[in-house]
Amino acid sequence: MKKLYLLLTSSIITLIIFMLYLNGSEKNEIDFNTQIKPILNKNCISCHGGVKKNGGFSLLFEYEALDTTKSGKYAIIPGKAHESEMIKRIAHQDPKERMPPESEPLDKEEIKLLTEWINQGAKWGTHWAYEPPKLISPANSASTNSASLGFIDSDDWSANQLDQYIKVRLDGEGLKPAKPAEKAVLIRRLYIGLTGLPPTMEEIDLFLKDDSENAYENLVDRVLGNPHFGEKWATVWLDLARYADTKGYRPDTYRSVWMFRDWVIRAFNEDKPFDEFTIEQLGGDLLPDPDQEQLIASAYHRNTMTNDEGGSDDEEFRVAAVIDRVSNTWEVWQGTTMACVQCHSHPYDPFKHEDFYKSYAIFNNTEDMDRGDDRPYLSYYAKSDMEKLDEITSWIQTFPKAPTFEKEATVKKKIKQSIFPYLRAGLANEVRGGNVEPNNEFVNIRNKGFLRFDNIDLSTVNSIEIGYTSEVGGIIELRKDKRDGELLGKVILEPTGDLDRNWQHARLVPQKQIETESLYFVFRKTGDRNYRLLNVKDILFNGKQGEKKQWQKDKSWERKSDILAGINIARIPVMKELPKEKQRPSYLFTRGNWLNPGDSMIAGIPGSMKEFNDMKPSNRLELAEWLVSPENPLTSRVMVNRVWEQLFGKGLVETSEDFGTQGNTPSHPELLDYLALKYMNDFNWSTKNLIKEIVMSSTFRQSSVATSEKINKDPYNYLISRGPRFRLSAEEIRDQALFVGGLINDEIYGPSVMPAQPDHFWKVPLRPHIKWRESTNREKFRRGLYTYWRRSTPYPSMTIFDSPSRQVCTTRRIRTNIPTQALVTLNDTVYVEAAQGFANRIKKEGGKEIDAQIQFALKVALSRQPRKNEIPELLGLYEDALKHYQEQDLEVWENVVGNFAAPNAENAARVMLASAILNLDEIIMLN
Amino acid sequence: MNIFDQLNSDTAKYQTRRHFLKSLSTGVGAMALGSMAGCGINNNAQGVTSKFNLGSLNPHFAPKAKRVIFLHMEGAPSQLELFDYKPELAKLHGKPCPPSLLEGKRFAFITGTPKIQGPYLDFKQRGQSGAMVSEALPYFSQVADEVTFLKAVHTDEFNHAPAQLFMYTGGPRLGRPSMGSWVVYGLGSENENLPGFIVLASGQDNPSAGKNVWGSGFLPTVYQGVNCQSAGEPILYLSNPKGVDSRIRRRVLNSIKNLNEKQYSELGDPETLARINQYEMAFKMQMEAPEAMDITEEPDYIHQLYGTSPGVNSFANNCLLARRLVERGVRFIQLFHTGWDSHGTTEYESINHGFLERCKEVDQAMSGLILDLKQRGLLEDTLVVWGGEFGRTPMMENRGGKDNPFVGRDHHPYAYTMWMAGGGVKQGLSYGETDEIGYYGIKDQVHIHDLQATILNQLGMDHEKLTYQFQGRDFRLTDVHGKVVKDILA
Repeated sequence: MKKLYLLLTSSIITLIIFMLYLNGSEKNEIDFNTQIKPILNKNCISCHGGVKKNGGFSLLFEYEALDTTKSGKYAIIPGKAHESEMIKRIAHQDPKERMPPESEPLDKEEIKLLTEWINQGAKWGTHWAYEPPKLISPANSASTNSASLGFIDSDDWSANQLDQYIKVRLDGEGLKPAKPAEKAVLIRRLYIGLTGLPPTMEEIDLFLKDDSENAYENLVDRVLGNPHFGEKWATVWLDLARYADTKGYRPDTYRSVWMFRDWVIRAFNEDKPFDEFTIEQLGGDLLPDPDQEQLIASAYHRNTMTNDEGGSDDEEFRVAAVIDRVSNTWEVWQGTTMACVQCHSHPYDPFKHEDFYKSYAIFNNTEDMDRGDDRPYLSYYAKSDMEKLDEITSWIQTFPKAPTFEKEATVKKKIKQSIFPYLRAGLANEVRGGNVEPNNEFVNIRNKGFLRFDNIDLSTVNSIEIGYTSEVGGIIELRKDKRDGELLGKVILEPTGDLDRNWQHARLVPQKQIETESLYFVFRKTGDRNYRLLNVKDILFNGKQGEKKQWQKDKSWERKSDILAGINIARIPVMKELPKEKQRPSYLFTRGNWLNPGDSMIAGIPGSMKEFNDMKPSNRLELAEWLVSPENPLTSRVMVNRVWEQLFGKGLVETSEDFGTQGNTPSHPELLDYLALKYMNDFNWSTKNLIKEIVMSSTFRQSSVATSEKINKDPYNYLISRGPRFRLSAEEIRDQALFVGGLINDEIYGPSVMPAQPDHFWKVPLRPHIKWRESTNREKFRRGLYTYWRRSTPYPSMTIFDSPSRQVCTTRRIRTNIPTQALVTLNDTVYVEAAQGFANRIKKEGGKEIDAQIQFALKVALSRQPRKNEIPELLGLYEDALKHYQEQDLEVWENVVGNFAAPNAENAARVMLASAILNLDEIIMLN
Repeated sequence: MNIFDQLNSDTAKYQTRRHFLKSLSTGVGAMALGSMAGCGINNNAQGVTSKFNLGSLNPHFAPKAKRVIFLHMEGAPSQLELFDYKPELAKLHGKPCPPSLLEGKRFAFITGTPKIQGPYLDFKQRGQSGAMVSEALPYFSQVADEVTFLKAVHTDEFNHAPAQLFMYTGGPRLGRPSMGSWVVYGLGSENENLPGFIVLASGQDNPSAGKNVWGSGFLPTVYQGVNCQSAGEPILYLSNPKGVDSRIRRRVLNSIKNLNEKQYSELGDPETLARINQYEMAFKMQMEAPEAMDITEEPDYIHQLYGTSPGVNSFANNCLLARRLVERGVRFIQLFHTGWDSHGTTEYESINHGFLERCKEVDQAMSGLILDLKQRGLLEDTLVVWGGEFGRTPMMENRGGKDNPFVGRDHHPYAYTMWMAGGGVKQGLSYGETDEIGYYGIKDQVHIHDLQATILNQLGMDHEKLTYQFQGRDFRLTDVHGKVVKDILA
């Protein structure tokens, strides 16, 4: 088989050489995209493009360029360069007449190219990214130059076709691929690359000892099946979805949308094909009879920011959200930057001003409108909670006389009430005159504010206990069906002081035991401090004393009721299309100003993209289907490039956010197309298959050693002449430290948590009670992606490592290397605790002798054996630190060692050792 | 060749100024390489002198100012109680506002027909220039001759967060770099051990627009402002953990350095050199920053000049800190003092209470700052800018159609007063005029984009040339607007 293949390749090569020979004897045809467009973009298009059309001449579209100009002359006459005004003007002797004005004339070479191009007929070209991907074999790729054609030798290096594209290019540049990376390096690269966490000791040993032929492939399969896989790729996607736990604008309060994060993690873990992944997020709510998960997916575009500031115009910020949805969709799926088209036609790419507003019309008809409560939303049990609930209800059903439970979520709420009568204020059906705190933990209410709960049956309730803190004295009134409805009872609240501590219970006795449609808890202050107020946490309904049910007598009930208490209805904003009669008209905004609407617009895609196929998308679902249609040239390329960027540190198209003419051209265009086609067709959009294809390649498995020859010829590794080496992401650096320190809580899914953060970092305008409340021990060691993401003050130790605010989409995190990063990994509480935990692990698991402990430490942290001189260096550090700490006292030891081990000089010295290892360049980098 | 010579020669080999900026996106760290490739290369014993973590371009022309202190009164103080004296308003006090002023206008809270609010405070002419300054600022009245008043500043935004974003990023929505980021992107810093762009906030809150007003937007994060506290730890994560002193920290860093050098000799990745440098700089910053941020060493007469009391988070302490930081070559210092949103809805947010307190909190300190900079010869090349994100209406506020319980005014974007001092700006000038009730500017208006263009101009930068490409287009601080206000330049 291989022989046949070689034979075929070599005959193709011969054919190409022959064709090249024929071509060479004619004049080379000038290529518009690679040779002409760059000259025009650099020198001409800022005055003759989409924004300015000086002299009535524009070079953006072919039809415009070939038209007459204001002067009546033709700038370009195909075939007749010397009659073309453009050539006359750029070659003009008089600097006043010469183009471009007030600058140096064009190079002779450039003028010659333009002249020849016009003489050859001024053939226009479509930008590469708008042409469908083509399958071109490695041997035929443009990077193959004739010098290397002679010897595409028996290629022992390539493991798959991907490698051949890389190899051909390296051959052309006279570079050799790097040696394969050591197994120990490879396993760390693979684990962190695919799951964001380093391998466990067991995994390292399993792989290092496996000498079989399939050892690496088996490892790859194991890692692809690892449940942390989804977390890593979700982190990447959440930057694009601009997922955050708050609303963005002042006062930037909580938004309950973490279930969307769960959905993304699950989608990657289950390898949901990228076409479905796309359709459900952009149009999940428009699918016929959408299920709960599809509705949650539609929260993708509910991650836009909203503004709750008093006096702000809801329509202004609804418009801003729709504009963000348009820009986001084009950037994320099409690598197309539309921001400039908001105000005027694109200066470089083929998009007209109205194209933006055709897209705007697609997104302009959802029900949300910058409301304070984020309506419309979906209330339901999170999948993980639903499972727990199912388990308990089916357990209850094993008892005689057990009630029957229905599957529907709202019914479940009643069930919960009936078996454990407890409500959380944060999950009220409505909160007015107040706001809900992170994770619905409690509600903060101002004077005259209220909470509303629907369908509460008070007929079996004797009293209601309300957990609260209050700055002022006040009353809570219980009212039936309306905020000023029948008064059912009230309770006087004593001030409790600081709103943050010292929770009290107030007991309210309803005067009537009746069923209500809605139950209102209305707050009125009696003290004289204005504005703030009251926090309400939980509301307990104490029922009539009755006989305990069978299952309540069971031993396990106490634990089960605890679990039940922790389960709450979750709420997530979703997309919902307005009914036909209520749909909003859309207009073009003159110069991007929404207060200045121009022509009315009909939903559609940009004119220049209509040629892809016959589809005419006019709503979000159709748009999503068009994006993943096989004829769309961009979607697959953009996603393949994104995956590549994660694994190699930069994409084949380095500007992964911009595939337009201002972006970089692909380093390996044929490889990009090959993978894009394979992803769509062979892999049916399976991201896991795509990743496997890439990581199985010899290209990925190269060592990252940079020889001076490679630094010279390929300083930024564009040619991939060596393995990837780049800094880990903010989340990965944190997760790795916790992992190495043995502290990480590796639970998957669930609401956001608040790990340690410097005091006073959060100061919230006019809402000093909104505080960072550090999570409990286990919770605070969850992975970085579960960190509570407040857009206006994102978690500082992660932003220092370049994690974005997620106010808008971030396609590419730019990696920096700044001194405050060193301060984080040396001094931040999280890293201090990680070093303490790590030191303790070293002592407990690393053996008796310090040499052995150091060896163990390096293996845990870097997956490898010590190299020359490493042990002596670290041993020297340990001994010096030991000497240092022997001179200190117990208090110092306690501070350094923390709660992890006995306070003594040896343990303190070991913490210094651990901290040094956690700060090595090698651990901060993917190697 | 030691490792730093190696770094320099490697750097020289394939880094040019422009290339460096590009290399930010290719994984080679910004700090070490950037700072060496561009501005002020000189080799000391170690072979490395760098200007902190910043790469920078060169000024476009000779600068008049080397640094900026921006005093932002967050919440928007009333110009009509401070600098813009309108006797006509006193006559109209309590009368309904002429409908012509309300037509087609958007207000934050005013509804229906509000009444005119006369000046709540008395004014006097001050100094040689005869500038009108109200009784609320007795200290400032004595330095009024040092400044240029801009009496007809106007903005596009009428709500706090968007207007603050507009002031600092040139646009009302999130995502663009702030002025300080643009400045350090353009000029770098003069101190290798301190950040080039520092933010100090005082008052009860943070600015409404949050950290975005000192964020780097789409510029690399090295250019973002570092928020320092005048109480507690001055820079996040600056202090060593408990039980770790600088002697043992140095020892740990030596081992990290030795192992990283080994790593470099094995893998040859320049990024490793950048990291070695990063750790060394972090250590230096730990050494220098606490000293720079410590005002207790200042002599008594300085404390009396500013009205400072060490250990608290106050505007006065921040003003003194600002002076210490400009002395050390920090490029852009932004002070926020919050609590100026005098709607009249509460005591705190009213002209007759909270506003007067705010004036007391800032008056002596900002005047002391000007005098102190002057006596040290720093005012010549330090530009001090003072103002809010917008002004306040000549009408009293009537939220929900009812009179407010305290004296107050609503947000007013059409005309308000700011002032500038030092940094090549004229002394004792009043520039611009408003109409007789202070509603619109009628002469020499200055738009926020003009102000931004002028600040950049004083620093030696052409606002139209200081650009950065993002999402396929060149962005600049002044969007596509802005004219340098030449008339106020000395």
